[in-house]
Amino acid sequence: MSLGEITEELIAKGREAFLNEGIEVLLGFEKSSSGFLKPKAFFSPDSLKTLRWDASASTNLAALLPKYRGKKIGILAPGCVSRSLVILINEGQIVREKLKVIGIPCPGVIDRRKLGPLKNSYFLGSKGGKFLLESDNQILELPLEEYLCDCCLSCRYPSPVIYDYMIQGKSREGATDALEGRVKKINSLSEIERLSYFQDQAEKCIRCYACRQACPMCYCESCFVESSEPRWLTAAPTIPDNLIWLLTRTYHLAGRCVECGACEQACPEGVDLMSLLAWAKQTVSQLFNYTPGLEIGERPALGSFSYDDPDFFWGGGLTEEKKCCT
Amino acid sequence: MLYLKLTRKNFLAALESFSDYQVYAPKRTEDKVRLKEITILELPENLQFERCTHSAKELFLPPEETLFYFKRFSSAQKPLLDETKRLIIGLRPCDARALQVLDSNFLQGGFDDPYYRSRRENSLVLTIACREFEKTCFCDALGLGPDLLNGADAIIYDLGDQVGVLAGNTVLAQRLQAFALETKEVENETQVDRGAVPSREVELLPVKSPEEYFPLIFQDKLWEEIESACLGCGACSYLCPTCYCFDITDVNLGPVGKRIRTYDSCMFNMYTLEASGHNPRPTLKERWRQRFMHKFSYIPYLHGLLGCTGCGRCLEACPSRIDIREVVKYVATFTG
Amino acid sequence: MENFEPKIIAFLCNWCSYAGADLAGVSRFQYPANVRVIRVPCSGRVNPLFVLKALYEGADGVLVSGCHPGDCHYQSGNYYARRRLEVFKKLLEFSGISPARFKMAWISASEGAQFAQLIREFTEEVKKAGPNQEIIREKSDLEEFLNESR
Repeated sequence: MSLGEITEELIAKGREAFLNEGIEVLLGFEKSSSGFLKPKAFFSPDSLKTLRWDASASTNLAALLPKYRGKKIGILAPGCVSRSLVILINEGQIVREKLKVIGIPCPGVIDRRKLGPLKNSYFLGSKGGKFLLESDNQILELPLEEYLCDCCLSCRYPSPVIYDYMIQGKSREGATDALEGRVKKINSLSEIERLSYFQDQAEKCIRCYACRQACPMCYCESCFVESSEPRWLTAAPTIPDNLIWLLTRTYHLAGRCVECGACEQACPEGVDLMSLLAWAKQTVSQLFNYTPGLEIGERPALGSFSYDDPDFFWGGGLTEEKKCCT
Repeated sequence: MLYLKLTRKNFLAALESFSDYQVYAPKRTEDKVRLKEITILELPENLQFERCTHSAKELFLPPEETLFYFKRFSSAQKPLLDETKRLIIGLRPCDARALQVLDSNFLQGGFDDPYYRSRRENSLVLTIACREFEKTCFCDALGLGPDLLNGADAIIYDLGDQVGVLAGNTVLAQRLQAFALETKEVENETQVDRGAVPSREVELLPVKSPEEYFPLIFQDKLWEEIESACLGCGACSYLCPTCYCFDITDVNLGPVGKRIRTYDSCMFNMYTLEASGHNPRPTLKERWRQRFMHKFSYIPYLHGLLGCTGCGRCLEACPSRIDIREVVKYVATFTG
Repeated sequence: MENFEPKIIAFLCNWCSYAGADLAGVSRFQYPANVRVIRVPCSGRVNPLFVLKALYEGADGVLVSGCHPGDCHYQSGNYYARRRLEVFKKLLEFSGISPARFKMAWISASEGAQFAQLIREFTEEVKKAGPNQEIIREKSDLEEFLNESR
């Protein structure tokens, strides 16, 4: 499918959603001043003529849902966004019936960080396995695979898991171990080296909370950092405070993060967020055989339990008889 | 102001007389460029510095500042003022301009912020004129140029094997005079040799005073458009060189504690959340509108200068790629 | 460091572990005095942020102990705790914080001897790990001010 054809189909499906399904707003993308796509809420079928989707659409649109609470919402959803929607449904944040999902087969999204000095170039578009940038009056054609987010490279669910409409096309195939590789690399370090690495990340952090705002799963009306009684961490961006922020956010996302990478894209300081989140996903998957966002009706991993959960507690393994006799 | 021409060697030699000053210059670590401490000997002779990804704000309004210590049942200690002498070299005219905006807030004749004032009074700011524009900066579109003094203590122009220094600070000018090849008294930048100042085709965006369009534009649909994209992430305000809003909290240890000041952002929901639960800026529409108006309307109205320097850090950082230039253009050409 | 006496915070569930600790005391089982006990209604009440906050404020080791699985006074609180704290413990290890600093245990109300044994073992492990420098707040300036004004 060419990009032009995808756009046409998108707009057509968007119009259908407005006219036939009665949605009040459609969350999608439009071109920004730098050519890269920016999120946009469309309120009428006629406004859809600027609707676009390509490999520069790095925002997770599910993060914008709370703004339109109570409305009937249409949303563009590649794989990760659709899984975010499933989790939001499972956690009681949105009602499936009020959602119209336009599923998109995703080829992956460009990582702004990997663009380096090219990130301020003008983005002309993506097609096939390539994308075009204009920089200093030159047009550069670059291979998509080299600039995709690690999250997209490792993505095992590029096609949406729920949808009401499905745009034709092919998703990216062949998940690599980009994210697992990051986790492996850190695991291979010694304890002191690991601490040092995360302290370096904590040093970079300026506590702007862009990561939290970009994340669809961070929808708490009052985040733990805003709690003053009890107060978990100070407002100052010191290394121990930032470590508490990073570790706790990771923990709160364990079993809920779909690895869309929106947090890393939003972070202005280049903090390595995905290593922690990829670790969390791996751990929850290994311990409890759970992958977030695949089935409507599932309970969140850390909000449920099984009698057979792995047990490494001190004093565990005692049988009923033994307990009686002690 | 005094304009001086010096050889590069002599200029650096002149700076060495500031031996009691701690020198700061832009230094790169990975993909970020920040002001870091260095020695005068380490300054590059070509005086080429990259533009800071973070601004000079962190040296004058640090991300964490201890205001004072206190003890239960006693009065608070006196404010802790930082009186380290600093020579900050390598910033750009937009950074100097940003300091003027910060001054308009923190140094208000009789209501000075002592912490900020102490840092400001003990720092010398030497900027360098830009040799090229970034893709994201737009100082020229706002009528501010890449070669203006903007209240810095001096600006350094690249004249090939010499440097031209326009010094607004008389103490600095005097110290440089002994090393100068020639000097002359001037009134503004246009009267001096500024070397190869970059220029480009740019649409000037004068922003009108609030009375002219404020009542009309406040209710415009523009702000809803922006709201649909804005995540409220705060990255813009943390990186902006003129955003100065702060939060004050206490950190305790039993009966003693300290009061600290940290960055805050008007994009956060809690910023205007009142104890009753009412929030006069409940959605990002109101908050983004306020941020824009603050920079382009309220600050010019109150203090007579634009609150934005055109540095472009906000539009570079924005994960939703909101371009403040587009908003400025829309507002500047708004006719109702 | 021979003279290092670690500070250990123990979150003990009211119905089992706290009672077990009490039994240890009444039975005069000897265990090191480094532990400071905080009673919680159930191990499921323990927010992992408690552990981080304790370390941040200066604890060298944190213990969370509850009823054995199947015996929770509130039926399932300890099952939730088991899952959550398991993931949390591994997170601390991954981030380079010494694994010796956080321990989870099941101690029933009749297990006074085991409680004493647990504390003896844990105190040794934390002693070996040394003082907490990984995630502790910077308070030397406040400590100095406190000492001056005494």
